[in-house]
Parts: sequence; structure tokens; C-alpha cells
Amino acid sequence: MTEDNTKSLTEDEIKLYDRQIRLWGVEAQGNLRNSRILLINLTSVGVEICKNLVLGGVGGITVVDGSFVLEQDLNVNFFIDSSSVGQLKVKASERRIEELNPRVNLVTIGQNWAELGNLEGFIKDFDMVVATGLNEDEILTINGLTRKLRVPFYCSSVHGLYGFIFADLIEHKSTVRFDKQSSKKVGRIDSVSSIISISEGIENDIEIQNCVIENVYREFGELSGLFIREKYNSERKQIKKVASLLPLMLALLKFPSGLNKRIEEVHIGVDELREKGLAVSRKLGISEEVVKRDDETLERLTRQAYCEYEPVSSVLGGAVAQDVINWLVRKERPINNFAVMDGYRDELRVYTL
Amino acid sequence: MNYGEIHVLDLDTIDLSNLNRQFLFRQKDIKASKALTAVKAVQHMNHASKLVAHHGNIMDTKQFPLSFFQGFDMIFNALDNLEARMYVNKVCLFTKVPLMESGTTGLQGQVQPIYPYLTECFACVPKSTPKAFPVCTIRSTPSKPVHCVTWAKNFLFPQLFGPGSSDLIPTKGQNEDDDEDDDETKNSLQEANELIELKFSIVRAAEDLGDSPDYSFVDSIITKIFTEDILRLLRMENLWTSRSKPTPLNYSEYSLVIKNLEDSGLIEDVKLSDQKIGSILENLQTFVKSTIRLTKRLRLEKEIYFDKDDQDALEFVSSSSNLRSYIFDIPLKTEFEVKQIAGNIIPAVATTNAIMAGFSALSSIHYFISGKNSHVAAEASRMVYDSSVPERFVNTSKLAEPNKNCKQCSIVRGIANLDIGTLTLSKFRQQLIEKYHYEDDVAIATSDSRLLYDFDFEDNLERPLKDFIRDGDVLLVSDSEEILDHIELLISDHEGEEIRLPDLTIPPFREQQEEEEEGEEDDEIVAELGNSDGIVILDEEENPLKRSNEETDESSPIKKRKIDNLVVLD
Repeated sequence: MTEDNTKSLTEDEIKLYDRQIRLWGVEAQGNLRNSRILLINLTSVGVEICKNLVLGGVGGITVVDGSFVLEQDLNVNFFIDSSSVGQLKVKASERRIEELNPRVNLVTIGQNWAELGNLEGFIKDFDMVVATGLNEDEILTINGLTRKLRVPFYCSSVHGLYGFIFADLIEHKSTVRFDKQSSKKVGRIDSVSSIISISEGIENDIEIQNCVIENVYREFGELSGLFIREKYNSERKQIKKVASLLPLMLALLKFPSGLNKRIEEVHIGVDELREKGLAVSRKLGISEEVVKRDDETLERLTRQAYCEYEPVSSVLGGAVAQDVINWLVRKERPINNFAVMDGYRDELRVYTL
Repeated sequence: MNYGEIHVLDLDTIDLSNLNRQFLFRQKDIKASKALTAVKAVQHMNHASKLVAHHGNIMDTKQFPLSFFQGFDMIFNALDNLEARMYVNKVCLFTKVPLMESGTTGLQGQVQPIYPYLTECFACVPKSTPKAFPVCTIRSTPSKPVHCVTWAKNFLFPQLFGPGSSDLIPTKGQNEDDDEDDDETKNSLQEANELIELKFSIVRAAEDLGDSPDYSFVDSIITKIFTEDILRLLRMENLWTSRSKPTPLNYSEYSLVIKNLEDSGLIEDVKLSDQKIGSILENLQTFVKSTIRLTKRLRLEKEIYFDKDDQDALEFVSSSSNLRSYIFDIPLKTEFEVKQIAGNIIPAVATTNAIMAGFSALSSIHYFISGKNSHVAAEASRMVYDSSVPERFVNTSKLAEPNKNCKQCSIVRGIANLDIGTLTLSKFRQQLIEKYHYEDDVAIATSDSRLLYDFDFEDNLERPLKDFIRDGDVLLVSDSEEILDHIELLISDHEGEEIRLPDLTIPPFREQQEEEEEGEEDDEIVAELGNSDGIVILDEEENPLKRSNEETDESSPIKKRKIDNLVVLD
């Protein structure tokens, strides 16, 4: 963030952002306005993230995507229309993004991120990198750079009624409000978070505790099942508490990317996904039974991989954008670190890997 | 999702404060109809759905009769107030149309799929209504900023600029301590009379404010409400035995500065930042300025009602509540904060709305992929609400069974098709007894408890139903022998047609739980329910996470009705 936070918001801005300033305060809105976000790939969930951040009033957003509009994109990208087919996606979307909130400094770059020259130099100017639609190799590349530059990183994709969010905020402190009844104490909460200070107060006649919570994150390359094993230490618990979607989603990331392909051309084999899912399970130390007992999810995920579905994008795009905003305003507890969405069960579970 | 036909319904128009989250609206659309603008805004999108906009109130039975609702496969509620939610819930119970009920407040939200009579309905779990305060707290013994804001907005403002406030004329027997009662009632009546005097002085001043304005009426107002009324309260010593005493305002400390501002004509230029807490002098300046401006407006407007977006009104309420707070040693608030309290503004953000809208849309697929099988859909659907634990981004739970004591969905109801113009009450009664096999006789009443017929009230028997009800009204039928339970019949008017009563299985009679409805109302000022304007707004109190340990109070009337967005799907 630039050091210009003290520059106060104008009266017009306060009026426009009234309903959210009442949630996080004027100062936090100032943090938002002074932030610069990099959004890699304007997928359906990318569109939702972009919409939410632009409406929320971030200072600037740079959207990088070298793909061209396909017929199938029209269903999931409300920035474009049927005349956009064949055009560069970011350029076709630019006008309607800008109209959402002309105060936001929008930059669009019609190039694949991997083809940008000095990627490291490019990323370092941003407060946050949000990428969508990446596979494992790509996540490793970008997350490696964000770690090196100590820039927080989010990544999300939608696969039909399924999807995921990965977060690497490196180290993050935020204030979370609790009822005093929950009587929080300074000290370790779990293996990745601890309360470092508490202040008490009264809000709307309720006694509250404002806890400053410190969260430590892992980069994608270091994900392990340690935390799951700590929490769900028996096979029985794992079968009950760990969704098969977790290893399967991580396994899907190991396939070559199906991004920007015509959906008819994306083929994920059931057996191959199962094999990779079992391998991920072994690596994370999760019982293989978790995958073996849920053929239904396995089959659905192979059929729906890389298929973008608007309601799921709306949920995940809302969740990512809210987390980004929470990070910027230093409030609440952002996702740490891998969340999987199951649209059949209306679940969005968070696993600390 | 390409649903065949979607009807979008909203009575509201677009406001600047909507634009932080409602991505279909632009600056240029401010003041335009939300429904019409939303439908226009999605035209460029590639979808196969036919969209129809309706600008109107969902509770308007002329515009939206029952037949309108019966034409849909599913209804999505994204309303911002309890009254309209309850109304649509009831409509869905009559029509058996599945309802996706949703709402957000700030970062919290929820989606509740409702399959009528199969799952919990919106009324199955009592909802808490807005906080209410005893009148004596507002009038005599405020202890929180909200008490002073309520006093300024619901009492002082309407007394001086509006049609007056009957809410606050006290009645006997409302205090915990009966000894205080007489004194306080007398006191209040005297205050009220003096306020009427002040109102006259304002009306006179409004006529006279010409080239060389005389602002002395403002001085009189200040002295009366911030000094004399407080001195009078202080004389009621029993009020202050267990409370700290208020300190009357010493206006002479400030009057000279105010006078100079008035004389120089600069008083109307006073403007305090809405983000800063003003000093006493600044609040007095704002009070004088807003009083003058409102008084001038009275020449044209006759009566002014408080509106949070009316800057003069807001400044008046903000400054007078702060001056009162100062007197009672209560923390002062910024104008921004007062606006939130007085306007009952609920925070709203794009992200939470996107999350809950996504889940709401997702919930609907179970019904359609099951071939519109409510049983299958009810089993597969989940209620979604915000989570307080890091392991889940949202909480998810199976849909609960209907509450057996629910005042809405435990009642047997159906739709009666008949011709209200020709069918007499007598014939209707006879048909009811034949169709449902009542042992002896029935009693028939309207939904607002007006008795039309029972065995010793036969005056109306030969009159047609149209003398008592309109198309879409509900009639309550009860068994005079108390063998069968009460039923509700929604009357659908079909001119020239024979009466058709619905097939109903009526359970045995159950004692009705009396609601403690009357009696408490007089003591309470009811904070107005939401005036806010998000896509999906739900009062925080209604959050299911909290509902189990919330006090519920359904006795408070909801005074203001306002609907936001209702989306109806076909």
C-alpha cells in the first residue's frame, strides 16, 4: 500500500461507500482506495472478483488475460456481449468494468501472464495478487514469486458445481471481534494462529473483546496434511470430516490446464483423476478411503472440470473479494489456506494444509 | 442459469448508496426504478431467459393478486423487511410455491429454502422485532445516545415541524414506579403544551422571516428544551435517587456568538464535518442553522417528516440529540453515526450479497433437476448462513421440519373459488358445513378479526360476501362446537362461477395461544424497521445463529413498510 492513507476520503466518496463504511470505517475505506490489485485471468470467478473489488472501491486493479472471447464465455462474463466473440477478453470487458466505478484506476493487459517480460518486477508494484484458473505448475510459479516479494496471493477456480480458493497471506495480523462470553485468551489458537493482544469494550450494549489474531501461512509448494492429521487423527474421523473433494480438487490441478479451451475439448479421465486423488491423499496423510468411498463426486468432477457455472463463481468470487478486503482493512480472519466448494451440498469448507 | 422466464419485482428507486454493491445500476440511473433498470441492464448478457420487470409493492393485491403468484414455479425473496417477508411466506403457504428466502446484513447472511408444509417456513421460528424503549426513558431519563436520537427524531422533530407526535403523550400506569407516575404525566403534559406554543412561534416566524429576520424564536426553543425542561425534570427528585442528575444547558455562555452569526447572516453557512464530533457551540450553531432552514421551508411545505436523507432534518436531529446527550452526560455522536441510528441503516456490501445470491440461485436447482419434486428437493436442499468458525466459510444445515405450533404453517388453509358478488354469507356458511362436516355451526371472521357470522350474530347472513371482503382476502372459519380446528380460506373471486371449496383434512380442535398484543404498545416507541436499500437485507436479529437465544417480541407493530427487491422466477 502506498503511504498516502492519511489522505482523507472526499464527501462524495463517503456518500457512495456509505453502506460499507458503516461496516469497516472511513480509515479502512481509505486503505481500500490506496490499494493496487493484480488480477490474473478474467475467468468467470475472475469476473466476480473484479466486480466486487471495483464496486468496493480499491484504488487500482490491473487485469491480465491474453485469451480471446469464446461463445461459452458469454454465459459467465457479464462484462461482454455476443459482439465480443473473438476479441481479446480484457479489451472486450474493459468498458463495462470501468462503468461499474469510474473512480477505480483500471488497467487491462491483453497478454498471457506467462508472456509478460519481467514478471517479478511486474508483481512487486502490487499490494495483492489474485489469480484464477491456474493449474498446479502455474500456481507454483506465481506463488513462488509472491513469496519472494512478500506479496499476498489468492487463487481460485470454478469447476461446475465445485471450486476452490487458495490463500497465502504469508503473515497476517487482523482484529476480530468476539462476544465477551466467548472469553478469549492471549495465546495459541491452533498451529497457524494465535491471539497476540485483546482489548475490551462495549458495542451496542454487548460486551466485546477485540482480539488481534496473528495468522501464519504456507506457500502452495509446502502444503502438507499435517494440520488435517492433527485435527482428524483417526481414519474414522477423516472419512467423516474430510471431503473427498479436497484431494480430488488438488489432483485436478495436476492435469494440464483446460483453461480457455472449448469445453467439449476438455477431457479428464475418471481413473486418472482417482489415481492422482489417491496419490494426493497419501501425500497429505489422509486415508485413501476418503476418495474410494465417493465415486459420485469423482465422476461429477471429471465431467464438470473447467466448466464455469455462474452461481458458484458468484459465491467464490464473493468469498475471495471479501477476504481481499478483510486483508486490506485488517479485520476478520481470512481463509487459511485451502477452501473447497461443493455446490451440491452448499458447503464451503476450509482446510489448513 | 437460463431459467425460462424471470419476473423482477421491486417498489424502490435507485439511490447513490446502492451503487457500492448493486452492479446493475450506474450513477445515471439514480432515482430510476430498480426493477426496470435491472432488467434493462442484463439485456446485453447472453441468456435465454425472458425478463419482465414490475415496479410495485409486493403486498399490493390489486397489482399482484394471488393468481399472479400461482403462475410461478419458484419465488426468490430478497426483501429488507419483516412484514413483506411474512406476507410472501403466507402467499407461498396458500399457493404451495417453493420459496428461496434470503438476506444479508454486513458480512452476515443466510439463505433458507422453504418448501411449504414440508420444511420450516419463515414464520416457524419467531423473529425479533426492532428494539423499543419505554417512553419515560426517552422523555425523562435517557442513558444512551440512541435514547437522545429517538427523542430528537420521534418527539422533538415532529412536534416542531411535523404533524406532532402522539406516540409520546404518556398514558397512566406505564411506569415501573407508580409514585412517579402522576408527577411525570403532569410534567409531560405541561411540556407538550409548551411545545405547542413553540410550534406556533415557528409558524409565526415562518411567515415573518423577511428582510430583517428576527431569530429570537430559536433562542426561546433552545432555552425551553435544553434548560427549562431539564430544570423541571430535576424537580422530580425521585427520578434521580439512583441516577446521576442532568445539567441544564447554560445558553448565556453561547448566545452572544450565535447572535453575532445570526446578525452577520453567516449562520446558514455553518457546516460541520459529518465525521467529527462537534463541540457544544458547534452543535448549537448547527441546531440554530437547521431550525432556521426548516422554519423557512415550512412556508412552502406545511409539514416536514423526518427523512435521513434530508440534510436539514438530519442536522436538526443530530445537533439536538447531541445537546441532550451533553446535558445527560452521554457520549456525543458524529452526524454520520446519528444518521445510522435515526435512519436505521443496515450495512451492506457487494461480497456478502454475491455469496448469498449465489447460494440462493444454487438452492433452486434441486427443485428443477428433481422434476419439480418438492420432497426430493426439500431433502437435498440446505440452509446456508454465515459461519463463526474458521473451518467453514459458511454454515450449512439440513432443512428443519415445520414447527407444529407455527402460527402460519400449522394452520390448514386452502383457496376458495367463488363469486363474491352473488354468494351470500348464508350460502357460504351452508356450503362450509356440508363440505367439511361441521357438527353444528361455524363462525366466520375476516383476517383482521372482524366477526361476520356466528350463532348469535346473524345480521349479515343475507348480504353478499363482497360487502365484507375483496378478491384475495382471507376468511377464518372456526367450529362452534370446537371439534375441528380453525381453517383459513383465501377467497379468489370468479364472477358467475359456482362455489368451489378446497379439499382439506382438518385436524381436531387445538386451543389457540393468545398473543399478548395490546397493552404494551402505548409504552413504547418502536424504532422504524429498515429504510435501507440493499439487494438483500435482513435484520441482524433475524440471524439464525442467534435466534435461539434472542428474546422474541412480536407485539411491537411495524410501522413502516418498504419492500426492496423481490425476484420471482418461472
